[in-house]
Order: sequence, then structure tokens, then C-alpha cells
Amino acid sequence: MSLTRPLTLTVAALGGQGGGVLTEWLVAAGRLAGFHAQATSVPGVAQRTGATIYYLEFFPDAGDGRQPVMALMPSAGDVDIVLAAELVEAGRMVERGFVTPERTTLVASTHRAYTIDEKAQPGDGRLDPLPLQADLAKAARRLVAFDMAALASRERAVVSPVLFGALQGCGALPFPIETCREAIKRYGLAVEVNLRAFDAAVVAAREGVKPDVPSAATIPTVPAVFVSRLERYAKPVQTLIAHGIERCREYQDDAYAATYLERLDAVVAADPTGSVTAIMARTLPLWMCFEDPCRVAQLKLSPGRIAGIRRHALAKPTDLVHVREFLRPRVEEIAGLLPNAWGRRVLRNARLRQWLRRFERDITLTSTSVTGYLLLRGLLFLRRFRRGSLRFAEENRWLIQWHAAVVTAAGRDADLAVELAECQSLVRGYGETIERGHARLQKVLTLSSRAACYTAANIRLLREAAERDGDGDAFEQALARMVAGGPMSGEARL
Amino acid sequence: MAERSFKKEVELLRLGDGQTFEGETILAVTKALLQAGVGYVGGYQGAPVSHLMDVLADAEDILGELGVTFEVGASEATAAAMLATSINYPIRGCVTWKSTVGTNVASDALSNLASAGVTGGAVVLLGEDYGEGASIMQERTHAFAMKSQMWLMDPRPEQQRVVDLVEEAFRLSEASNTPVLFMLRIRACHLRGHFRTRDNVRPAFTARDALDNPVRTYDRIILPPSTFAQEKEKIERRWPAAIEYIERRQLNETFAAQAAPVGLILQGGLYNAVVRALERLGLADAYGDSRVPLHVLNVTYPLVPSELSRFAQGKTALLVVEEGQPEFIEPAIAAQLAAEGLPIRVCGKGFLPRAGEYTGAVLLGALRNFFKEYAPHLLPPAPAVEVPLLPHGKLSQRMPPRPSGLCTGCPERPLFTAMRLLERETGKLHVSADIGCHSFATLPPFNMGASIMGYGLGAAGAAGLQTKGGKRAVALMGDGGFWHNGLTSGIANAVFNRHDDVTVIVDNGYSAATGGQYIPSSDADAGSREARHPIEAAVRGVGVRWVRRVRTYDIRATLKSLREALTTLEKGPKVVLAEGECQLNRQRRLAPLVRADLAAGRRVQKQRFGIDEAVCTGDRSCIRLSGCPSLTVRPSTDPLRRLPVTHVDQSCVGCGVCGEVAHAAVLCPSFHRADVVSNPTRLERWADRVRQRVLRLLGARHLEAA
Repeated sequence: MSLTRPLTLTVAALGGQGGGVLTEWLVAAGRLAGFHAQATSVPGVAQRTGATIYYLEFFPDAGDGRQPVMALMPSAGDVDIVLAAELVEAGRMVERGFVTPERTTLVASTHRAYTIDEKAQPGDGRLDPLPLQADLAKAARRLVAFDMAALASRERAVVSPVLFGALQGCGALPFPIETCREAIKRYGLAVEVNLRAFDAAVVAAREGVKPDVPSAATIPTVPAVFVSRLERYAKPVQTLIAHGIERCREYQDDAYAATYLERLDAVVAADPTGSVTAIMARTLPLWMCFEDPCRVAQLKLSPGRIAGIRRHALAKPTDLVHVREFLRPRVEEIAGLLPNAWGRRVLRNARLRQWLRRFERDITLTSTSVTGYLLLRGLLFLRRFRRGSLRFAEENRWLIQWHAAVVTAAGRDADLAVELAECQSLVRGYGETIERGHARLQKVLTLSSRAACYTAANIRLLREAAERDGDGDAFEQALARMVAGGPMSGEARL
Repeated sequence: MAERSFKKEVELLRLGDGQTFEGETILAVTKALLQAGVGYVGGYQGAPVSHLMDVLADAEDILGELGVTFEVGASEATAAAMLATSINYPIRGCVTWKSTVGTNVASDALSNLASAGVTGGAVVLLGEDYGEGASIMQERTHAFAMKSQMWLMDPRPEQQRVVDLVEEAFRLSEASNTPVLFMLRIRACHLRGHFRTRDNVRPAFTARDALDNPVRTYDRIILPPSTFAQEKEKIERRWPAAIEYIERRQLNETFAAQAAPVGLILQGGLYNAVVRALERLGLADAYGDSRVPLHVLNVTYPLVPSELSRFAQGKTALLVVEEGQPEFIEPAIAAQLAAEGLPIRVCGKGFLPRAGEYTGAVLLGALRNFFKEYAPHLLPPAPAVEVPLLPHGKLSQRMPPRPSGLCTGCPERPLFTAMRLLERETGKLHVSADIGCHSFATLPPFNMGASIMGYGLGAAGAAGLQTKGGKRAVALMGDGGFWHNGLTSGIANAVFNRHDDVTVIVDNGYSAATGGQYIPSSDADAGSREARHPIEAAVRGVGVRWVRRVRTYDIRATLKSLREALTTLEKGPKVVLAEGECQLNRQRRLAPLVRADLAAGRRVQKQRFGIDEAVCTGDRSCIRLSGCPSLTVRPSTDPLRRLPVTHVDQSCVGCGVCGEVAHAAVLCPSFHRADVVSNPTRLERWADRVRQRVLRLLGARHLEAA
């Protein structure tokens, strides 16, 4: 391969992805292949959990002792190869101008390591990956992209040998495959694993990777009594409804599932287009199966749970695994288990409530021990009294109001009803979180007395504010602006 | 124990005549010091010169064989003061630190050293952290050189050249009796290259020689009238000597294959970037053969007037490529050439931005504009497609930022979680932050800390906020900063001035942010250094009466101590020692032991946290209260749920904070901890079998396969 100017290569990696080792391999491979090779990096603060950029240049060694002058940093519009060990880092390379359609081959892993801003939101703060992938294809002369973290994890390696293999496999690197393998061998770090991952990636880059097709959603089978009722609904929502039925049956009993369907029928009757039903089929059972202590106990004792935990913890069959649960019930949660009238009495008495607080404890319970199991079983046993409990009455009070608001809206304004139906997401969590959720839902529902404010757009805005801002008061501010009749577009979305 | 072990690299220091060194420049420079017969080396760690300190720390044998003294300074001031040896004795000394922060700390000693002048070569190796990825404020070292009359070198980053110039720096220092600042930019430090080595040289004159025949002359003392004499000597004798040496030894380089009406004068460190820009403009080839003459200043202070006059001859315009602000070189050259009456335009800032890093794109644009104006005939006909100058990648969405943060399992995380929980009770607090890993608490998700005044100055930074009654300020300080100067500037000062506020000292056992070097309070056998001096004893020793030690992973206890510190009626400064071993170092220390135990079939217990997907409702309080990198989100597998669920990924080290947070912050019951026992004892296995049987009899189904 004849080059008149250096081949320039940038690696964008995150801490722990092996970017440094990849750089060493590339330098070694380049030298073995008869190139001058130079590499440098900017670790600095970025080293700690941030992103690190490595920069390499290669130039054929003419053997005359002359040293080429190589740059120490990538320059916009002057990078031949960009290796990105994560999708957003690939995007960042484009943002910085290192990926250009004239010359850059971009080899990128499509998996995500979410940033703190994305993962701290109570809703879904994740960047939409599809437009980004389309952008990458447009930005680069050539794009080689697949989920390299998945391949790496299959080979029990980190992502760096996969990037190396994908680069070699796509043909943009003027070093023969055996030279690259030799570089990995000589470096001596986990040689076997890294070679396996490298080889698999070479093949993947050459032959392409079939995207993982999500396994077709299985429709749960429902008991015979529900089959005919299920068939009355529109075909597309039947799967969701079947899940809803099963959820309610697992949570309580057949009668509870029947209640679910009755509530859903009220929506169907008022919803000619079916758009509201499609949401309520999903959000109704989520709320109806709210997470009270009995439900938590049920989930902690669900079949196969310990096996799943063993897999997640990478325990070997011969290892023993003890599972500890971290519980911190407040007086309110305990009182919620009591019969409605008793619980109400306990909570209404402020002094009693305060006195009971002293019994609140951090509970670390071992669900794999006999006592731990029996405690959870005891909680689960209380399920049969659930319908009479304070918590059940409270949740139902809210749920019925919400359901009625959705049904009423469905008859007049389907968009509004859809947004209201999605507002189940306000009412999630435990302890103070769900209390705040109830209060917020109430505020949303009382908007109905102000016709001008009670619009689909406004409800959506409020829900999104709550889903975006966990501890702050974005929801309250948005609501205040709405009630004051202030601007509701653009800047209110802050 | 430093973050990286340099056992392999250390062997490179033994290479002899005619062999080839291959590795990072910062290590090449270390080898160059030994080749130059250095007698003593000192410094303070910090990127990008941490590796130099770490290598020397790992190379005690070699240093011992050569009779070289090596010291890890308590601060840059300590290191700079070490150079006092070279004032009176012909011993070459080198000290190193991160600039400009370290140079600030060292300034007192440096000024005194520069005034007194040196007999043995004195070189300060500066890791210059300017531009992308920098972790400090952006300033120039140049001004330090000018104000104290020390010489400043900024070598062209070609490894052989750098190594040769290290030796020249010592000679220049000796020829002009002046300390030399040898600046290495961060990328140049981490550059992998190679050079021909020479044998190491034993210092001819040793500390023993000095102590056996002590020398003192009053004219080296910083008291009048010597100071006035020294001030004159700097200008009348040392300066001309330096200029003569630089010119004679051709420390600066002129590359001029052919005559041209324009020329470039540049800092040595920018050479590669400038050549690349010329190459992209079609004015140089890959080997750096340029059609435009270049004058490369490997010594950026002082300038050599005769060299500049020669270079300017026959040219109509010069472009001075000088990174950083304010510019010093450009106006000096302009003034000199104007005084000589040369009809030449000296350009610089204007074509180039006044501030900020000179990246490839910046230089490309500036050079093209300069040539367009002063030598348009040089530029090749414009290509059909203009190479874009600015990043032109436009994405349909903005990429979310990825700020630095605390590592997985970091002991500082639960401290800041506790402080966040404390703020729920007290309202927002004024937090005076400090330099170190804990400064990441100023970033999401903690967003805590109002100011950072310098290393170890967290407590001092709150000194102006003393009130009687009311809320107290909270100052942070790391153990590294504490020993650097915080003990006196922060703690003793607070006692003396009867402060009533709170200082939290983060004791993680190492100078963690700079790579995990030992400090006086490290709980470890620190080899040839003496550690295990507890911070508590030091703090009490300077008069603090209210001291609490807490294990940060115990969030409730930490919270309680912090609450008490903020509310106690006891007078005087309150000091909370927040203890927890740096997780990076801990894992490095333990991982080999665990591997060995597992291989030998010994019992090993590990912890792993997890989240029950069905129990998690996705509120993310846990993420906002801890921000652990291993806590992340993933799509829900529940067909009814739209929002992603929270998830603990495989990087979890089982530090326990998730469980602590779930309790202390009254979070959800989703977290569980798996205690995995490998190679269990026979008794354990037996007990487990019994337990499983009983559980099955009781109808437990969670143990079954799904």
C-alpha cells in the first residue's frame, strides 16, 4: 500500500473498555507491518469514568532512516479511521468533525453506555438511537456498526479486541490479519480470549451481523372463562389485555381480572377509535397491581428468582448464594396493610404515628434463609385480606377518579383521554414517591375545571416534566405557568 | 502503590550505549535524566508527570546503584526547595510537577532559586496541561519564566530531540547559572516513540562530597545587598551567557530548504501540528520538508535576537505561532525587528485565536489566511472541494455530555450521598470544594461545591464565611491536599482563628486522583517511605477538639456525624474524617489475592448487587443519590411497561452503597445483594442442603428454575 501522507486513526473509548491496550496492539501491528507508528492519548480527568481519546498515525517505513513528522492530535476533516467503542461517543466524533464523508471509515459499536443525565430521569431520558445511527451512516464515508459489546460479552472479552477485529475485517487497515493477531499475542494480555473476540469480529465485519430480532411476543394463555371475553376486543390489543388479565390473576384472583375487564369495557364503550383502549389496556393493570408489601413479597418469592440472581452474579453451580433484601417500611406501609378503618385510625392519630416511628427499622432480610422465607410468606399470606386493607382503599379511590376522568374525556377528546391514560406513570414507586405521585395526579385531574388548561398538550407537558425531573419542581412550575395562562410552548419545556 | 506498575518500564532505564528505547516520552525523559548524570530528583505527582514519579519510585534499585537521590515531595514547594542543593554544589538536580498549578505552589522557592543562581544544572520538568482534557485552569508557564528570569524550553516533540535537549537543559543551566524550566505538553508526554540510548552516568559530585566540604558564600543568600547584586547579575551576566549558549549549541532549529518571502516562528511543542497544517495546504511533505521556512523555538525564553534577525532577512512577513495568552514572543520579536529597522510585518494573534488550544483545524485556517494575504503564490490552486475548517458534522440530536465522575464502588460516593440526604434536613449548604477525586462531586448527580481555590485549600476557601449562629459552611479536603498544605492552611488556621465551621477530610489512603500514590497517612507498607501516620493525630495535634471518624460506606453513621458537626454547640472547627479505601487501589490490591485463593480452592466470598426488575418502578432516586457507573437503565422486559427499568451491570464491585442508600434514603425494596461463596466449607455445604430441603418442604418456589 503506498501512502503519501500518514494514515490517521482516532479511538474514542470509555474507561475500562481497553482503549489503551487497543492502542498498544495497533502500534505493534503497524510496526510489524513495516510502518512508522505513533500514538498518544489525552487521559487527564477524563480517565475517571469519562471518555478518552487516543490518536494514532501510521506511515510506511521506506527503510531510509527518514522519520515522518506525525501529528499529536486528530484534526477535523483529517481522520481516516475512527473507532468508537460506544454509540454516543461515535456521535461525538461526528460532532467534533473527525468523521467526514470524504475520507473517514467509522467503526462503531451500537451499544449504549448511558450518561448520567440520561439515566437519572424518572422517565425515559435515553437518546433515541435510530436517528443517530442514520446520521452516522451519512457522516462517514463508510460505516461499520454493530453491537460489539454483545459480541464481546459472548466471548467474555471487553470491547477493544472486537473493535480491532471489526477494523481489520472491514479492510480499512493496511495490516494483514496475521500481523494483527501477532500483535495481540506479543502483548500477552488474555491472549486466548482476545484472539477469539478478534476473530469473531473479523467475521462479523466481513459478513455482517444479523440484528437481534426480538423474540416474537408470546401471548399468554388465559383461563377458559376469559377466552371469549378476550376475543371481543380488537385484535391488536388482545395480547396486552391477556397480559393484563394474567397480571391481575397473579396479583389477586380471577375476580380481580374480571374487574380489570369491566373497567376496560367502560373505556371501550366511550372510545370509538380504540386509541384510548390501547393505552388503558396497559396502564390499568399496572396501577391495579400496585406494589404493596404483599406484592413485593410475592415478587421476591417468584419461581426462578434465585436462579436469575445466580446468573446475574455469575455464580458457578458449586457456589453457594445467599440473597439479602433491603427493606425500609415506614409506619404508613404497615398501616396500609391493616383493615381500612384501623389503618385510618392509626394514621389519623399524629401522636400515635410519631410514637410508632421509633419502631421503623432498616431491615436486611435473607430470602434464601428459612426465617427470611417465612417472613416473606407471612406477608404474602396477607394478600387474601388485601381488598379490605387501607392501602387498597386508598389506591382504589385514586384509581377510580382517574378511570372516570379517562372515560369522560374519551367521549369528547380522544387525544386528551390518551394523555390522561398515560398519567399512570405519575403514580409509581414507594413511600414518599408514590404519595407525591398521588398529589400530582390530583392536580392534573383538577385541571378539568379549567377548560382552557385541560388539553392533551398540557397534560403531556406535565407528565413529561414529572418524568424528566426527579427531585426538582419542574412539574409544579409547569403547572403554575399553565394555571397562570403563561406561555406553554418552547421554553416551558425546560 | 501507584495505579500503574512500571516493573517492565524500569528495565528500560538500564539500557546502555547504542540500544533502542521504545515507550512514552515521559519515560524517555526519565532515562535522559540518568544519562545526564543527575544527582537528585524530586517532585510532586500529577498528570502528565505522574508516570515519571511512579517509574522512579519503582526504580529505587537503579537509582541506588547510581547514587541518585529520589524524593516524593510533600508539595511542589518542597520539590522546588530541593534544588537549593544546586546553588552551592556542582550537582545536577531535576524536579517535576504539573504546571501551572504546581509552579504556583513552588513559586516562592523558584524565585529564591532564580535569584541566587545555580552552580549545578537545575532543571524543572513541567507537565504542561493546556487544551483538551485539561484538568486545571488554563494559564501559561511563560510568565513565570519571565518574571523570575528562568529559561523556558518547549522542545519539538520528537523523542530523540527531547532526550538530547534534556541534557542540553542541564548544560544551559550551568553555562548561565540559571534554573531551566523544561516544559512538556500533555500529549507529548504520552507519545509513544523511540530513541538511541546511552549509558547512565553516575553523578561526579555527590551529596557526601557536599556534606564533607560544605560551601556557603554570602552572595548566594537572599538578603540585601546580595539580592541587588543578583538582580543585576541576571541581566548582565546570566542572560548573555544563556543567549550565547543557545545560539552556539543551536538549541533552536531553522528549517529552510528554500528562500521564501514569508516564514513561521513557532514554539517547539507546536512543530508537529504546524507541519501537518502545512502538509494539508500542500506546502510540506510527510517528512516535514517545508516550502515555507520554519524557525522552531525549542527555547522560548529567552529569545536569541541574532537568530531572529537572520531568519527575518529577506522576508516580508512572519507569522509567530504562540499558543496561550497573553502573547509574549510575538510582541518581543516585533519590537526587536522594528528596532533594527527591518521592513517586515510580524503577525500572530489575529490570524490565530488569542486564547485556546491550537488544534489542527485552527492552525490550518490561520496558516491558509496568512499565506493568502502575504504569499498567495505559495498556495496551490484551491481544491474543487474546500476542506472544511470547522467541525461540520451536524447531528439531528445533541449528544448528551459525559462528565467525569466517581468510580464504581468509590468510598466518596456514600459521603456525598449522605451530604445530599443532610441537605434534605438543613436545606442547601455552602460547600467549599477542593482538588482531588472529590471535586467530581461538583458534577452531576451531586452538583455540590461552590468554589475550588486550589489543592488543600478547601477549608481555607470557607474562611471568609464565618458567622455566629446560623448555618455553618462545609469545607471539603482530600487526604492528599491535607498533607500537601491543608493541615496548616486549613486546619491549624481554623483553630487559630476560632472558626466554627465544618471540614470533611476524605481519607481514602492515597493520592488517588493523581494515580494512587502513597501519602503519609496511607495504611500500608510504603516500601522505602514511612506511612501510617493517622490524620486524626495530626488534626488533634494542631488543636482541633471536635473530631469524628466515620466509615463512609456506613451512610447512617456518616449522616449522623455530619448532622452533629453542623449543630453541636461545641466551639471551634469541627473535623469529620470520612474514611474508605480508594476502590481502584483496593481492587488492585485484592484482585490477585482473590484469584490466588480461588485457584487454590480456598473459600472466597464476593458480593454483587442486583435489582428485581418487577419490583423496580423506575423512579431513579437511587441513581440520583449515588450516580454509580454500575447503576444504569435498560429496556423493561415487561410488555405492560413503557419506561426502562433500573439495572446493576456487571461492573458492580459489591461495595454495599446501594443497600445503604435504600435504607438511609428510604428507597424502594428493589435492591438485593447476592453473597456468592466460592469453595464453601463442608459445614456450609451441609447447612445449605438442609436449608434447601426445609425451604422446599415449606413450599418455597423462588429457588426453583423458572
